[in-house]
Amino acid sequence: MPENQFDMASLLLRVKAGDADASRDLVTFLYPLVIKIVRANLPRSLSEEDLAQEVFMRVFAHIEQYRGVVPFEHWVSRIALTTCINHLRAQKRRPELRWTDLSETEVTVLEGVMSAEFESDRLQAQAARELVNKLLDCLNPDDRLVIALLDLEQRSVSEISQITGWSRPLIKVRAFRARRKLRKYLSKLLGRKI
Amino acid sequence: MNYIDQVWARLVNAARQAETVGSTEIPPGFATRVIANRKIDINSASVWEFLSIRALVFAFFLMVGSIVINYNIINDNWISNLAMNYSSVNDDWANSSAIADIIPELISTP
Repeated sequence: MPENQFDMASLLLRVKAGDADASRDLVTFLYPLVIKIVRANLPRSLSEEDLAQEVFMRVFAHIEQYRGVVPFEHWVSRIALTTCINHLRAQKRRPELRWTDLSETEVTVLEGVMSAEFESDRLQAQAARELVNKLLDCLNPDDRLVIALLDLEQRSVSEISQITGWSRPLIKVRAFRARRKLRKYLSKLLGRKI
Repeated sequence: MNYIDQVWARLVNAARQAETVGSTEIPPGFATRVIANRKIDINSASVWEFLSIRALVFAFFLMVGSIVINYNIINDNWISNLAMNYSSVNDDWANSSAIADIIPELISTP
C-alpha cells in the first residue's frame, strides 16, 4: 500500500506539472471508481460517459487544491458525488411512481419481491435496479444519495460521512426521513396489489 | 420489519446483483477526450487572463492620461465649486440670522 501511495503522489506531481501521459494514467486509474459513483447517482437526462467526463474535468480543474489530507480516491469520490448531486438537484423530481410507469419486467420483479421466495435472474436484476432508481428519483437528491449509499452500496454511516462530509447524526436523520418517504411511495405503488 | 420494508429489502437485494452488469472498463478514447477538453479549458482561460490583465493596465493608463490632460478643467471646477458652496453656506447663514432677528419683532407685535 505505501508503494501505491508513493506512485499516486508522484503521478499527481506529474499531472500538476502538466504531463499529458500522467493525466491519461490518472483518468484510466480512476475511471472504475468514478463510473460506479456516476452510475449509482445518474440523472435521467445525462449519459454516464458525459457525467464521468465532467467529473474528471472538475478533478483536473481543482487538482491544485488537493493537499493530501485524505486519500486522493476519497477526494475524487467527493467531487464525483457533488457533481452528480448538482445535476440531480437541477432536474425536476418525478412526482410519484405509478404501476402504469413500469415495464413488463419491472412488474414481474415487483410481483416477485412481494413473495418471500424470490430469486432474480440477470435480466430481472437489471429491472430491479431500474425500479429502485425510479423509486429513488422520487426523493430529493440528498435523501436519494443516503439511501443509495446505505442500501445499494451497503456503506456504513461513517463511510458515508467520510465521502459526503456530512455529520453522522445528519446522515441518520436523512436516512430515517428518506425511508419514511420511500415506504409511502412503495405502499402507494403496491396499493392495488396488497 | 413491516411488509413494505421487507419488499424494499428484497428489491434492493435483487438490484445489488445487477451491479456486475455494467462494465467498469474505460471506453476507448475517453482519457484522450478528457485531456483534450482540459487543454481547451486551459487555453481559453489563459486567453481571458491575458486579455483581462492587459485591459486593466490599459484602463489604468487611460485614467491617468485623462486626469493629466484635463487637470486644469478639473482644478478650476473644483475651486469654483468650493467657492460656490462657501457662498451658499454663507448666504444660508445670513438668511437664517435675518429670520431670527425678525422673530422677536413678530412676537412683540400685538
